[in-house]
Amino acid sequence: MKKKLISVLLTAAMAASIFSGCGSQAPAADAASEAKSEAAAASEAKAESAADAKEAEAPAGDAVTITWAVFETDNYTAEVWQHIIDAFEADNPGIKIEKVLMTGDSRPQFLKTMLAAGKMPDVNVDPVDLASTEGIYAEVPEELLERYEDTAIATYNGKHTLVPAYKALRNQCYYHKDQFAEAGITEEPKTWDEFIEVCEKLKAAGKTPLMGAGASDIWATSFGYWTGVANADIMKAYPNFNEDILSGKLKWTDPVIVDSLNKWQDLINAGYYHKGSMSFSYTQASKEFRDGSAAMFMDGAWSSIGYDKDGITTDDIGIFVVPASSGARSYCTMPQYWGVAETCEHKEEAFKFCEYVLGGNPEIYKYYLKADATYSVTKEPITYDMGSVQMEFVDNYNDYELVPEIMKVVGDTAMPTGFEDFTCKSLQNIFTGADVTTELETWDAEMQRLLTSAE
Amino acid sequence: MRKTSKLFLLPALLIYTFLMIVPILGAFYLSLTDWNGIAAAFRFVGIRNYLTMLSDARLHNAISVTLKITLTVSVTVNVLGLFIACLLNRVGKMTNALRSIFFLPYVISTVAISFIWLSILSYTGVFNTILEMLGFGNVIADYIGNTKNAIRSICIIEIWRILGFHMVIYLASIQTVPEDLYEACTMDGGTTWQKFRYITLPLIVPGITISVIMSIMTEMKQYDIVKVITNGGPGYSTETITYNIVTQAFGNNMLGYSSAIAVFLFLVIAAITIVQLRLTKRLEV
Repeated sequence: MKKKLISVLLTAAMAASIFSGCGSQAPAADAASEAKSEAAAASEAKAESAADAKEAEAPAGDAVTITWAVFETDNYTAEVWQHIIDAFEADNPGIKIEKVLMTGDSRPQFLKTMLAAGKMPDVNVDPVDLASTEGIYAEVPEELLERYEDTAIATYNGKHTLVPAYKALRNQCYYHKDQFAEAGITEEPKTWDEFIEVCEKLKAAGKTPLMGAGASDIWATSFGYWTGVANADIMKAYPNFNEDILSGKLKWTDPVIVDSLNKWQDLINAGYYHKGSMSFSYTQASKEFRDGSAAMFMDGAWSSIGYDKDGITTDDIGIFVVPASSGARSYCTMPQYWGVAETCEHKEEAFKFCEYVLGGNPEIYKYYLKADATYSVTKEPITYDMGSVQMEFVDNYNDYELVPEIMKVVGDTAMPTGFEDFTCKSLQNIFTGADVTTELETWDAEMQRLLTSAE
Repeated sequence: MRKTSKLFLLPALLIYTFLMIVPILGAFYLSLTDWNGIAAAFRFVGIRNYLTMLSDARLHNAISVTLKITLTVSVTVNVLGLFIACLLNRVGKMTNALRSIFFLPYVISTVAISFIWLSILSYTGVFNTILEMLGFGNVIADYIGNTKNAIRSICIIEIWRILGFHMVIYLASIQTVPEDLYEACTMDGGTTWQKFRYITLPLIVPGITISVIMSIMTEMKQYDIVKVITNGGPGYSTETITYNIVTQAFGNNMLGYSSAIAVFLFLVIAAITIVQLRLTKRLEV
């Protein structure tokens, strides 16, 4: 009997020990950029010349190697990274860059695994998740930080461990102009009431007003409304929202937040969203919208370059900033960073590489920004040619105020790790009918739990 | 001679100890700490993580979801698996082909299966398109994005995936039953049902035990289908215990807490297995 018991325990132990996993899914920019094709072409030519230059200039045998963790998407292709590497190596013969591809659907988890295995890449793209833990990333030299806008610099416990890379505009509402015309809509909505009126007219004309996304892309369900409308409503009422909520001065059940999310739920309850929204992945939803299954889609800035690349112009697709019910006229951006690992043996060379790509060589920085339709964070702005859709996206923000995106603030006032994923799931609950106040009560509890565990 | 034979066990024992026993003990130790999975330092917090589990509503929901999936899938695959095994035990032209067809889903990658089912169950997917083509457009539904339907879809996919495996276990068990017992029963005027009830069933109890335990263990650890099809959603409606463990460990940087949940899962599986073994032991002949 004892033997049997032991064998049972061991079998159960085997079962319990086999855990595999990965974290939240990063938003994949679905649209391929115009820059991508240019990048591929430019990369080939540059690679050849760079290789030639390297052969001619590199001192044999004593080059320093820097490992660089990157990820690949439709916009950030292998050619894009290789072009950057070739350009840097050509200009810096003593330093070799070795690309480490962050595979899987969670970049933070990839980096955590590498860290645990003692193989942390020297330079990391997208290091924010690990940056709040002291000792993971090296402090950035002050002279390098001076290149960047003050608002782009992140501080953790008084230390600057991240190199600002770019800022990405978030989302606006894309719409099919022909469907608007068929429904008798002649003007883009300027107020929340006008927006509801547009939805009503579209519905009355037998069209589906809004496309939504869900399924396993949890972030995509609330992305449009949360970053486009709710963030503006909240920041208008509480300009120092992150400080106030983290210090306990505010609660997530604040009437401003409840009201904003109730308005979102009203859109859902009124049947404005496509019936299959929650079963569509982000990619499926984008395709459905493009195919005309719905008239409007609150989508990311990255899509604008996709339309431009595919020859779709502002004659076919219109874009407007969804008017906030509070009347707030603000927009937000997502900051992105690079980090140099504390374990890096050649920090000077690693920071030299960061500096070269992120502003030191304006052509390369422009190339990097254009690849994913992002924007410079250097004190001296870097601009590039844009297509008509991307141009309209940018122009729409002309008289809008830039405010922080609550969930993407980096540094001491950042939300605790894991909280954004939690809220995305809770917002899915709201989408499927859960009571807004009850859901927001769980936000307060979860935030406190995560803050306590991080202490 | 005995010492020599014991030495042959040593390599396997060493590998098993280092790859299984040591990590499990490590997980138990980590469950008593507040390690975030990144920092070098962590504190010993005693049973705090276990106490936190008592008030963690999201974990309670995950336990409930896991139990629903486990119960639904285990009962269905064992009943259906036994039924199909009985049918395929007879010699026929198509027997071997059918056995292969039923077993096929089990050998295909779970992730690949999940993506195939996604394209079937999506709102504009294959299933709803066929319904619409047949004129049943008014009954099309959202099988993934609807809270109630999502868990049903997970169960159906999982039943489809593992049914063949359990059928094979039952088929192997049925084929160990001596043919002369059936012949004797026939001579005594026994019906097909009586043969099954009084000969087949009692003699395949060890097979039932293995099949039920395997199905319970598999479903208690359910992760990959949920991850690909719904990512635990909509909201938390399809989050399982293992999904919760992974989220706590790698999403929330709470490796100590996630280890406590893993230890809890280990104890639950062990307890279910012991109870199951004791119950079926009485039924064996």
